[in-house]
Amino acid sequence: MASSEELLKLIDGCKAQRPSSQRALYARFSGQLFATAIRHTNAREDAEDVLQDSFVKIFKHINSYRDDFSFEGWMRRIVVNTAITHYRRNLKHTHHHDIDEVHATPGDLQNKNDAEFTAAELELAISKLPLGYRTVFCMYVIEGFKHQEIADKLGVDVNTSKSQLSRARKYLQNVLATLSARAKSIPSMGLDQEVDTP
Amino acid sequence: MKETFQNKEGIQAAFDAQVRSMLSGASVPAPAPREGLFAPATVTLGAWSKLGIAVAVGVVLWGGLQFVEGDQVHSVQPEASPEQTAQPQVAPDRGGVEEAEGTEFDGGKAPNSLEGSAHSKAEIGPEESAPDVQGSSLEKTIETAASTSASEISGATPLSSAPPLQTEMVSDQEVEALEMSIPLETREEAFDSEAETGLKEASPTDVQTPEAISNPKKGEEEEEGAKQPTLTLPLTLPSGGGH
Repeated sequence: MASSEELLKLIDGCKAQRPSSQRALYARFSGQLFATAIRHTNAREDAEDVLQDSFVKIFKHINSYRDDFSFEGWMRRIVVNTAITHYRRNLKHTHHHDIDEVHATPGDLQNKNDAEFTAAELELAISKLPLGYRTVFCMYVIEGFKHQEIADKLGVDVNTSKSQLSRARKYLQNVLATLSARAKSIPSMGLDQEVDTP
Repeated sequence: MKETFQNKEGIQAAFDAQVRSMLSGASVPAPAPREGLFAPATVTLGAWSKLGIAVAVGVVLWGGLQFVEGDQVHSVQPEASPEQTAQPQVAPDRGGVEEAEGTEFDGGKAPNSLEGSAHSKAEIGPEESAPDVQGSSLEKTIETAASTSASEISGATPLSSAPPLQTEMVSDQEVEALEMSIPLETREEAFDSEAETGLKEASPTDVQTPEAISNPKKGEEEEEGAKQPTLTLPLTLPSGGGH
């Protein structure tokens, strides 16, 4: 309760364009938003650019924020939109990869649902996805976008969004199941040594 | 078939929920903010400071203008004060003249001519008009007596036709000379005839168009002569009252 009141004060201060409030807001949420930016970019430098541009937009448009929506969700949407803009801007310079081409799916994984993995392993597995798949997966699973919204924002067909999501999900499940199985058999093995990079 | 499809969807939903719960609160050490990230606040402060400076400059200019205008007002006031002091001197004179005119021309018709006469008398000055005003008190008493007697005399004649009584421009000296030169009987007859002819001959046009009213350059004699008809009435009416 106290944190929500503090957050409201921060928001009011940012609406009043107070630098102290803006700095406090950045210190509080930049880590989460940077993680989101990393998921939607290929390189850390790109994620940094997306983060800074996102905060510029947040400070500029914070007066349009409504209280009936999650402030963190509102900021994450700004980060995702900024990352998509960044992605589409650099689309012609990006070499497209297909999951089937870059990844050999592990064989028959019987215990997908029982896979145990950490957040770091999940982040690393997601980072191994091609950017298009990763973007669709993160937008749908983490940010809560619908396929139509994803298709509109990325400029692709809805079925493309659905198929990419399905493939990305299947890939991650297989990777995480493999990691879990191997971690159980050989506890000392790390993710970087085991998973084929796309 | 349905079970496998539902199982597949259930597995996917569980996987999505697990991923969402693990990554929604994930945090990575973020880089330091850019120097220009908080620039909009400084820009707005700059705008406010500019606005404040503009307001301050405006206030200073306004204050300077007020100060200069105040000096001009102070410098003008001594020049305007003689006029303001002179006006009260003129105003009572006009009032006195207008009162005198009111007594002189009870049946005054043409306001322009009256204004012209008033203006001319104002030009004459207060020293000349003041004695007339003082002397008018006696004349008024005489006039009131004359008016009462005139109303008794005229009887059938309405008051609207009374102004001809004032029209005869006869001086006191002339009247006295007439009274002294003419025998009493003939005087009474003459007065009767004068009264009759005066009542008949007097007309509003005669009253309205005396040149002495509109012509301001006539002397004091004419003004006194213009007042004298009011004095002639008491002299003539008693003789008429004998009837």
